[in-house]
Amino acid sequence: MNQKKSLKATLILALFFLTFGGWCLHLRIHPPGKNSWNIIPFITGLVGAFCLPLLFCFRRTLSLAYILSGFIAILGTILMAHFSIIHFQGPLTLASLFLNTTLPDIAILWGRFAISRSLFQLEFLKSETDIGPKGHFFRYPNMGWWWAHFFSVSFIYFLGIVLFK
Amino acid sequence: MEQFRFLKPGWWVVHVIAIPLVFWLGHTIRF
Repeated sequence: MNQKKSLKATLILALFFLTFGGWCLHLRIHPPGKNSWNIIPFITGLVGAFCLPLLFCFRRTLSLAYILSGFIAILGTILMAHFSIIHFQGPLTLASLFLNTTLPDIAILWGRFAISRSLFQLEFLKSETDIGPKGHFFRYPNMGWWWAHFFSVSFIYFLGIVLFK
Repeated sequence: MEQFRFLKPGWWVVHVIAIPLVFWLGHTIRF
């Protein structure tokens, strides 16, 4: 096994353990039978922990895995931020922002996305001297594309909350 | 992946499905 394959295997394992841990923690706090909406993190966690590591193994399914991983992170961020806004109690301080909201959970999601992005970029890495992401910042697979989709999805979700009530 | 590029048929299919789905999610979810 060469260095690149070893790195890839380590990152896939990290992706699995991080997602599996998050999924189990989520199951403990919000079991799917308790509330119908708990089915969303149950399914996304299942996909993230068991399907994504498999999809990242093959070059053919690499893009699909990268896109799925990013959109799971975007959806999770929006839903957990919404959940926190609805259930937030007490004065807004730095401590309460870190400890009484879902900010730590959102941070875990983006850590998982960073691993996915590393796996995606690693596949195209030929040598250490390769230049970084190429092309327009707002074009796939660069980060601008993800930012644009994060804000667009958030905006449409927000419209769903406020319109036609 | 080529069929999903900007304004290609796959791109339209994905967006026509995803946008109403996200809107519906925001509209119906009750925490």
